Amino acid sequence: MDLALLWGAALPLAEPETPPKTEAGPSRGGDDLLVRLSRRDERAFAELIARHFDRVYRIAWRVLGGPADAEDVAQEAFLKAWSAPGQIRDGRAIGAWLARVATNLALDRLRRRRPESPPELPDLTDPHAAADRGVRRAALEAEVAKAMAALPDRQRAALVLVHFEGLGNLEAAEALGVSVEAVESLLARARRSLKQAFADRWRELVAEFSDL
Amino acid sequence: MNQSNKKALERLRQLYAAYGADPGHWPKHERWLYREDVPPELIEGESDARMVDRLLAVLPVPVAPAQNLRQLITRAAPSPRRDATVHAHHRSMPKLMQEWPAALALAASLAVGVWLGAAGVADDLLPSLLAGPVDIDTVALDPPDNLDFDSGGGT
Repeated sequence: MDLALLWGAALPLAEPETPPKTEAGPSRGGDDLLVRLSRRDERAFAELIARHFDRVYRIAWRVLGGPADAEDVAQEAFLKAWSAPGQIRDGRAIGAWLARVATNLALDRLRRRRPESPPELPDLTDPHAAADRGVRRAALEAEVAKAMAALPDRQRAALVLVHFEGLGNLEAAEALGVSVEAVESLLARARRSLKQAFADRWRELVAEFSDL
Repeated sequence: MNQSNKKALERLRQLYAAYGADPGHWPKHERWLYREDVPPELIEGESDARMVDRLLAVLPVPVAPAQNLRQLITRAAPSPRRDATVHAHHRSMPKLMQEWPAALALAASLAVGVWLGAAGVADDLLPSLLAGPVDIDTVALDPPDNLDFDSGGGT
């Protein structure tokens, strides 16, 4: 079938090289918050934490691969906002700035860590355990977590920012200090690696997902 | 297939590969490319993308510990109480008394300068005075501008 008919006439081909400035909507009152932060307003700091801590913590947790150091990294990101609010150029993009700082702090932390042994998976040889949906789900969760942990750090970070936290590709590119094309390359490679981690049981997984 | 369609098809393949099967995760300005009927050339890629999306959806959502807010404020913010004590003491002094030390120092400097000039001592001392360190006890000191009780406490 002719794709022109499928998509309708006059295809305005999207240009990935020129995406809009930001895909995240501006944070209402972000400029005001930044001004108040510059004046060392503690209530502004509390407001910043209330608005953004959960997301910053999730980013740290997922990039680090678990709770260890996640809280510390998240706190450090907010301490940077408090001690040097002048580094935040745009009050409407405080969230993106925090995401970038948390990502880089987490990546730095990973570089300093010693490699750890992979997490143990639950034993599924027991047929009764295999029949338990909850156990199978937990086992799959552990396998996916292990595959995520095995990804190169920047691939995992790209996946966390774009897939899990919904950052636009421009924001993610700024957070990682790369181009939009590089972000897409990181994402594609991450997904390919995840698929390969389950390559030997791909069909089995398709069936399993229909059952879970 | 014309060139435009080839480009659109290739871009769709890239979107599946990078962002997954859900157009909600695609760049907003490219979501128009999504179609319910996947082009035959992309069925396998779309299926793989959907499976990876499902795998990622299995992962739990990390929940931030609730007590961090107060801990972080305590760790990061300067203590307003200590500053308030210092500033309250400072502000309780009458304005004239606050300015006394500065006025006294200025008067002393003036007196010393006049004496040096009259005694002719300055003519010999001036080069060494200029070269030597400044005696801060003779420099008029204003109260620092950054001590502000009203805005530091977040009340």
